[in-house]
Amino acid sequence: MRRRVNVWLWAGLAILAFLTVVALFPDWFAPNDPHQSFWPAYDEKGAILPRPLQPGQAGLLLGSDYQGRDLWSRVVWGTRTSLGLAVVITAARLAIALPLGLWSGWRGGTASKVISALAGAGTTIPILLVLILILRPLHGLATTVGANLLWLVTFCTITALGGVPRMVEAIRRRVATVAGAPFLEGAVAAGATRRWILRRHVLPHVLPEVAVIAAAEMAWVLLLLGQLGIARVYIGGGQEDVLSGELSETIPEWAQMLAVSRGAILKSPILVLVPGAAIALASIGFHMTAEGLRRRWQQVVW
Amino acid sequence: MSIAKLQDSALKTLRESGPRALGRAARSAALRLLLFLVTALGVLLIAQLPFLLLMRPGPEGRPVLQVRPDVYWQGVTGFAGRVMVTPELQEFLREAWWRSGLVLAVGLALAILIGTVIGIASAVTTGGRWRRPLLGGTLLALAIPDFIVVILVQRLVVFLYREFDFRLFPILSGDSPRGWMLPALALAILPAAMIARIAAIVLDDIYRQDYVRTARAKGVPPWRVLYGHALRNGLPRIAASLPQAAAFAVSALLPVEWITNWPGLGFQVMLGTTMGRGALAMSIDKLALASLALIVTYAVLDGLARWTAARLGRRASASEAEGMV
Repeated sequence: MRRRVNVWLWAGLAILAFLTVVALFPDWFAPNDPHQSFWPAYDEKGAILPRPLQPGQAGLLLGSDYQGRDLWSRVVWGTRTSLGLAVVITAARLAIALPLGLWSGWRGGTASKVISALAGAGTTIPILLVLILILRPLHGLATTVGANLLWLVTFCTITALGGVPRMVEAIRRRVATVAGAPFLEGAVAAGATRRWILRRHVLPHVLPEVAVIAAAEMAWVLLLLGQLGIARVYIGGGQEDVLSGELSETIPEWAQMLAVSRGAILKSPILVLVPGAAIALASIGFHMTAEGLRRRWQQVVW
Repeated sequence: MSIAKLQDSALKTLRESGPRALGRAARSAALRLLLFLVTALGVLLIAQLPFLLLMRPGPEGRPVLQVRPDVYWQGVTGFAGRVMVTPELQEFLREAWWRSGLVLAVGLALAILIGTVIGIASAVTTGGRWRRPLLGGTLLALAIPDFIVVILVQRLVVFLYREFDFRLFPILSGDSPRGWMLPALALAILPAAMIARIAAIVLDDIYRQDYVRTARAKGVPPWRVLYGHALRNGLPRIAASLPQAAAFAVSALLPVEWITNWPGLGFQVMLGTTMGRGALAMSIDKLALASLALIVTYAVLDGLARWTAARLGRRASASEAEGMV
C-alpha cells in the first residue's frame, strides 16, 4: 500500500525552515538597514511625501513606518528577535513543566493532586490579563530607567511562568495514562529506580506528545507576544516618554512594531498587518508542524 | 452471563457511581472556587501596582520615580468598601459588564454553532474531499491573531461601503447599536476553529466504531447515524472543549475590545494599563474592578462550560451503558 505523504508536517517544516533561514541571514532578504530612515522622500514634482511612505514609494517594497524606516527590512530583521524570544519562552516553559509533569504523573497521590491544584490555579484566570497587569507597570519602569536587560529577563520569566500550569497538566495526564502499563510494572518488579524508570521507560513514551505540545506552544507564544504588543508590552530597547506616552523603538521586533503602530490601524493598516502577517505565518508553520507530528505519531489516517 | 444479569450489573454500577461522581464534582468545584478567590486577591494586589510605582514629572521635565507603599496599601484596603458604596463605580461596572457579556455570549454561541457544523461536515465527508480544506481552514483560523481578523473585517466593511454603498456594521463600535457585531465576530473565530477541530476528531473516531459500521451496513439513514450514534456519543467529548474555548474568548476580549473601541471590561482594563499609569487615564479602582469583573466572568463561563460538559457526559455514559447491554 502506498504511504500517504504527511502534507501537514512537510508544509509546516518548510515554513519553519524558511523562517529559520530568514532569522539567521536577514541581510539576504532585507535590502536596507532596518534603522535607516528614508524620510524625507520626494515625489516627481519635488513635494515631500507624507509619512508613513506607502508601498512602492522611495523604492520601498512595503513602504515605511512613521519614522521613515523600511517596513519590509524591519520585519525581516525582526524575525530573529521574535522567533528567538518565542523559542526561549517555550523552552523555559518546557524545562519547568516536563520534570514536574513527569514526576507528578508518575508518583500520583498527594504530589499529583498538589501539582494538579496549582495547575488549576493557573487556569482560573485569563493569562493575558495577568500578564498585562503585571508586565505593563514594570515595562513603564524599565523603559524609564533604561534597564533593558533586566526587563528582558523579567519579561521572559513572567511570560514563561504564565504558561507552565497548562503544560504541566497536559504532560501529567499523558504520563498518568502510561503509568499503569505492564512494561512499567515489570520495571518496578525488576527493582529499577524511579529516576531510571522515568528516564528510560516513561520519557520515551511521552516525548512524541511533548514535541506536539512544544510545537503548538510556540504558535501560542507568538500569538501572545502579538497580543501583548497591542497592549504596548514588548521587548527591545524602546524608549517611552512617560508624560506624553510617545513611543520610539530601536530593535526591530514584531510585537514592538505592532505596539508602535497600533494607533495607525485605521489610517495605515499595513503598519499593523505586516508584522501581524509575519506572526500568523510563523504561527501557521508551528501549528502545521504540531498537526503533522500528531498525525505521524498518533497514526491519524486522514 | 445472561443479558438480564449484565443489565443489572450495568445499572448497579451507574447507581453507585452517581453519588461518588457528585462528590468528586463538588470537591472539584470547591477547589476551583478557592483557587479563584486566591487568584482574584492576587489580581487585586497586582492591579494596584501602578500606585506603588508612580512616576511624576520632576525638575527639568524629567520623570521621577516615586515608590508609594502607603498609597498602594490604602488602595488595596479601601477598594472593597469604595466599590460597595460608590454609585459611579457600580454604574461603570454594570455598563462594562453588560457590553462584554453581550459580545461574549454572541461570540461563543457563534463559535459553538460554526465549530460543530464544520466538525460534522468534516467527519461525514467521505473520501477526504472536503476534509482537508475544512481542517486547513480551521488551522489558519487558529494561527491568525484576533487583531488581524478585526483589521481585515474593518477593511472589508470599508470596501463594501465605498464600492456598493452598503454599511455592514460600524468599524469602530463605540455606542453604535450594531457595534457589538465586529467584536463578537472576532471573538468567535478562534474558539470556533478549536471546537471544529475537536468535533472533527471525535466524530471521525466514532464513525470508525463497529456499532456505527453495523448501523450503516444495516441501512440506517445517514442523518440517523449522525444524530443517534455520532452526535449522541460525541457531544460530551466535544463539550469538554468548551472551557478552553471560553478561556480563549475571555482572553481575546482585551485586544479585540481595545481595537474595536467597544467599551467593555477588556477595553477598560487596556485603557487603565495602556493609556497612562492608571491614575491619569482612569481611576485605579476602575482598573481593579474591571480586572476582577473579567475574572468573575471567566469563572462563571468556565463553570457553565464544565457543568454542560458534565451533564452531557452523564447522559452519554448512561446511553452507552444501555447500548452495551
